[in-house]
Amino acid sequence: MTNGESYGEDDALEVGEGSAGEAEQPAEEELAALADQPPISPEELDRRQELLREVRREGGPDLHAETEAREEAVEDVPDIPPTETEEGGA
Amino acid sequence: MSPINLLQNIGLTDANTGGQTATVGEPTAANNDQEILVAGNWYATKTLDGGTNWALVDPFTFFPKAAGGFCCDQVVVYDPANNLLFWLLQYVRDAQGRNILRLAVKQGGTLGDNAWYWWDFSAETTNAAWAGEWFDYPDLELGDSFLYLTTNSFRGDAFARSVVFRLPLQALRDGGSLSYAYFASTKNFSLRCVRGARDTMYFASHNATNQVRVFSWPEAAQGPSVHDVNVSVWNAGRYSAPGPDGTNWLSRCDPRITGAWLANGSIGLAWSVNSRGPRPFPHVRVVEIDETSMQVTADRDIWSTDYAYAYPSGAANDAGKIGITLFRGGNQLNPGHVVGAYDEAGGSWDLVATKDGTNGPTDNKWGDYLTCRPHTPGGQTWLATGYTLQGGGTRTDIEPRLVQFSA
Repeated sequence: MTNGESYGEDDALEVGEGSAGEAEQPAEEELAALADQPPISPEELDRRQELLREVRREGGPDLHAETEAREEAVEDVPDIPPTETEEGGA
Repeated sequence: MSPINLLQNIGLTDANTGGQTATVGEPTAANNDQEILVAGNWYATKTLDGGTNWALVDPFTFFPKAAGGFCCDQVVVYDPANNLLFWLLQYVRDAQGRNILRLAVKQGGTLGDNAWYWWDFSAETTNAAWAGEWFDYPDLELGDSFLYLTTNSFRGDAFARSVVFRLPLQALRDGGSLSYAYFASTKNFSLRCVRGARDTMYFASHNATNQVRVFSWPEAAQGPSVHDVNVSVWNAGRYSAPGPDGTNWLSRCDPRITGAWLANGSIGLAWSVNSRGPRPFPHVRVVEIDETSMQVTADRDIWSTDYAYAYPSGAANDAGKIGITLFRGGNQLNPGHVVGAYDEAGGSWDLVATKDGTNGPTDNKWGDYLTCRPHTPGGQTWLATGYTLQGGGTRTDIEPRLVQFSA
């Protein structure tokens, strides 16, 4: 595969069609009635915070290993001066 | 004096969010004039008066239950051309490891009522061969005739593929049956669509730490074309930028492309990278790629010798000027929120802090995305989200932020 060509020969790439079916479209009152449910508890939210992974799931090329394997040329970065941030805000 | 003018800089309170906040905040916002919908982990809140009064729209209970119940990632987008508001929600995996993404739609100008309709998307209903996979990290972008829904798909914890759904806006407006086309890649992780597309959608992902793969999908074409674009080398690896309290707000950060825009014939891509050479902290790589030649035309990195920058999201306003939202922090600074715009004449970013945090996250969890879009109507200013910790380092100390700014 070269730039700009179709990916038809590449097994990693796929095009397809599908359907999500008919829209769910309840009466407004039906949705309004759901609001009577009790809110989620702070304890459950604390539990969810704990369940958040400390490292995100990743995939595709192993960019971390690629970085570790590259020790040389670490000075080679675009020649752009540091970015200033003005203090402002609330 | 900064050329960035903060027209609105609103810190959302527990009364606005129900206190349903997380340090992995992921705030998103969309507006239609005075109507604004803001969502994040794990709340949604709306205002009908431009931000004076807010009302919680609880994502746990607002819609009927599905899969394992509401989970987390949310994205909201307003389409002024079709006067439609979109709200995308991710649901928890069920006992079989499957989940759904729910795409809810309502007419613009009706945010005061509960009249939403929606479709659910799952891996196995998209392609039977994907049964057992689940969707994560969804996003939405608009083109002339389609809404593009992107997501990663995992089998257990293993990456399976990234998917781009192309959904006809007319069918979304009509609210009946919804047929779509999709594109999937098992090689490229976390495909990110550009903001500001018209009749061709571009989306991108990394091939390597010196090359991005840009896909172009004309709306009249059955599928996208592929373009591999070389960029100057950057570093991945585990990011670290401990703040004054020693917490590392970048422990979850990775190099996926989080900012993508199209303006003036140029595709802009932005992502968080690790320290490298004279740049002592993680920072943001920004490259501009010519839409026709598919060659990099400019590097516009955002970096500092004093702290890290991360999690960029950007968009062009209607004049083609690029606005951006991101975080900064580490070293002497707790994580804080920054917005700004690129000054073409000066060749640099003008950035201004909207709010500095008082703490870092005690459990080192932060991210995963922010939102910056043109404000509607007018499109000359931007609407951006952010958040900080105020008064402590736990999820209950999170203050989500909604900013309208001009440049």
